[in-house]
Amino acid sequence: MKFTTPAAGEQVAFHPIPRVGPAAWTLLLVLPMIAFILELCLGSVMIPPRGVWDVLTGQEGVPEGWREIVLLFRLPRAVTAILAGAALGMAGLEMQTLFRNPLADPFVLGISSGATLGVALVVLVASGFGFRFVMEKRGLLGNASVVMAALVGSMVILSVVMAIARRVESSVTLLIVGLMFGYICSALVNVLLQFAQEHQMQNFIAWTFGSFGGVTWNQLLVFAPTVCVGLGLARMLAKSLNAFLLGEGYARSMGVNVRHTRIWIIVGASLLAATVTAYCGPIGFLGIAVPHLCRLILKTSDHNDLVPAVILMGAALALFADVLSQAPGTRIVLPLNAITSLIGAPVVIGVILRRRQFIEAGA
Amino acid sequence: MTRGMIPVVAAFVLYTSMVSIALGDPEVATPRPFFSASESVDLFPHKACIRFARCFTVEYHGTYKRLDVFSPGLKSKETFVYILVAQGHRPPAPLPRGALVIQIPVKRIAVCSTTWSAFFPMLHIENALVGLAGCDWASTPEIVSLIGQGRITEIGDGRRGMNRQVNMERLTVLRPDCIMVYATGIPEYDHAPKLLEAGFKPVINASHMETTPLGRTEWIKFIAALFNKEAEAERVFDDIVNRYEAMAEKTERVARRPTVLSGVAWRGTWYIPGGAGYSARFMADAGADYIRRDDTTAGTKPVAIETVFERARDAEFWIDTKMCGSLVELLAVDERYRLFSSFRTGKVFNNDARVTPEGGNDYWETGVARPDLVLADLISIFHPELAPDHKRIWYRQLPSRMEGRQ
Repeated sequence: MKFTTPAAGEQVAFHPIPRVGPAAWTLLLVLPMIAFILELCLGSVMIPPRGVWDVLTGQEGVPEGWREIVLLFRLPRAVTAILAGAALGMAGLEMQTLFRNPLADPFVLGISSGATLGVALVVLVASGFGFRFVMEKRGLLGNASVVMAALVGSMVILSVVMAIARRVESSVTLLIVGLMFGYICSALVNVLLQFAQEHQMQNFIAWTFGSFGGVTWNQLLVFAPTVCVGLGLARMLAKSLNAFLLGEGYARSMGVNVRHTRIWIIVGASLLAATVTAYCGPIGFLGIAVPHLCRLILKTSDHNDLVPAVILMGAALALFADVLSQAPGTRIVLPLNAITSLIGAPVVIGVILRRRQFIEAGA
Repeated sequence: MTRGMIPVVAAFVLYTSMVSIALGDPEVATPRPFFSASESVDLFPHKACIRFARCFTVEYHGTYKRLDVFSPGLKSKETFVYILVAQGHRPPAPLPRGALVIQIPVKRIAVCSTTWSAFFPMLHIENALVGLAGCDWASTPEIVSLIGQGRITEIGDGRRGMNRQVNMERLTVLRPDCIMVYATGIPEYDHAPKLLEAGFKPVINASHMETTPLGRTEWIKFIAALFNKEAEAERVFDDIVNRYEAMAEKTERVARRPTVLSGVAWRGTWYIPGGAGYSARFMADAGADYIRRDDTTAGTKPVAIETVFERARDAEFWIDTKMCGSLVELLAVDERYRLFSSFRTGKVFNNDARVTPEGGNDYWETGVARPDLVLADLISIFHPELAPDHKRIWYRQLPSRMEGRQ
């Protein structure tokens, strides 16, 4: 197995790639649109596409129930899926490039573990009546407290990782530190789970399943701008990320302030990963699979192309996964995390098997 | 694996297979009696007759009783057989396959769930209860007082709910004649195999698999069979059945059956009780129209929130909001609850009026033993005119904000 940095002297320059035609970009643009339409039209309740269109265009004479289902349930879920998919894809791309490791995902630095620990503390421990009473006074019940807990948890982990990142040179050291924090957090979560009551455990496990459906318009007011800031940061970092592809030494010789840039990459990626985890739960595999799919389609590892591509592909995959998790035609719901893994894992397997003909995939 | 490992692994496999042969099946190891049990005498003049429960049967054979418990695990088709032999008599020969022999009447019993503790005072056998898992969940006054006197020992290991394991050392000191356990079909949660291995006599109580309230309550006869208390059990149960059926009869001819929603959503998914289950039956008997009454499953299912919303936005009542104790708390879980008309009119009720500080809900204790009173609670919600004098026991209307109790 070899997914560490390329050995010195190995041939790792940008290949002179023939630009793939507009076909690839058309595909990247059309996919999320189809997925968006499917997301709005398919669901447990049958609403004909015509009805959805009438609701969206504000026509008169649509049943009130349809209007509420489309505008208050399906549309916020679709918007959440788009933002979450784009954010996770982008965070994955940044992490894969930073660590030059095709298996890196947005959570390698322990972000989701920190969030999980925070949520476990709130959901599993603090549900006594007295505590809930205080939380109600503070307006921090239910989803609000879960989101806050996840954000605080991931930020604590992030600040520790950052403190270490400022001191150590090696990205691999950072990677190992992140992994170890992950283990510590899941150990603590296990301890908490041991003493939890059934309904608390059920709530916690439901959170780990991941879901775009729990985010409402009010929460999107915070979620959407945060994700947009993270995506904008990634766009600004595209040039530095290209330099990082060729190793930190090369980046330094290109005039990139490695330590400074590394911190910004970690902050940007972690912001995206932490926000998505806080609002949607830990959603696996999208962050790994999306960048690989984009490299495969565009046949490039140039971040100027990959950044917009990852946004489009991330949105499309997240929407498709959510459509499948709603199991159209049935009344049940499947765990979103299971669907993203079912889509993501084959992609990663494909990547590993095709590595020989693969362009330097940030690896 | 290196070559050097192979003999080690082979030795291990050999050792484990030898051990399992040597130990064999613990039940088969029960010594065979010399004489078969006599059928001519009848030591059990009072016989239980099972009318509602579907998960157990009891047969009488002169000097012993045979208890059969069915499908405690959701998928398992397994039957558990218990041969209850009167003191001083021999078990029948040959024993049914896998049967566990227990001498009755039982003098000392340990119980792995507070769900059944209300039955013991009803049969006046609470003094036989020597061990209970989850003492801090108990609500039944007689049991709480015995715990206070130190006459009932905590046999759980401090963990909560399904995670709880049994403290084997304390059980060994207690020496109960049998231990009543639940079975989920999930090995990590089930105590029976481990207890059996340790030489205890675990009896599986599958009352939670019953899909009707009266079926669940009828497990009082299961407990009674162990104590030869069938006569008391029949009397108590018949009384409850009469009260329950009289209540249910009142709602049979109601002009209007209000629609009812049950459960709450968590992160966009609604965990909703099936239309053929325990709580659906309560709602039907209370003269309500449950929004999933056409559903034929018994268990709780994850359902998309929009499905529930479409069916329930105009429902008149909303019950069983689980962990949500106030309207504000509901709104904090999902602000879209505001759209439900039951929420806007405040007709939201939860069964959490009697919860111990540690989180044990008496609805799952006394409520299981007294379905007639649960039904009365529900009728007083849906049809107050039919139960004008009833003061609700477990159900309470959600306040808009939490009142600072405790």
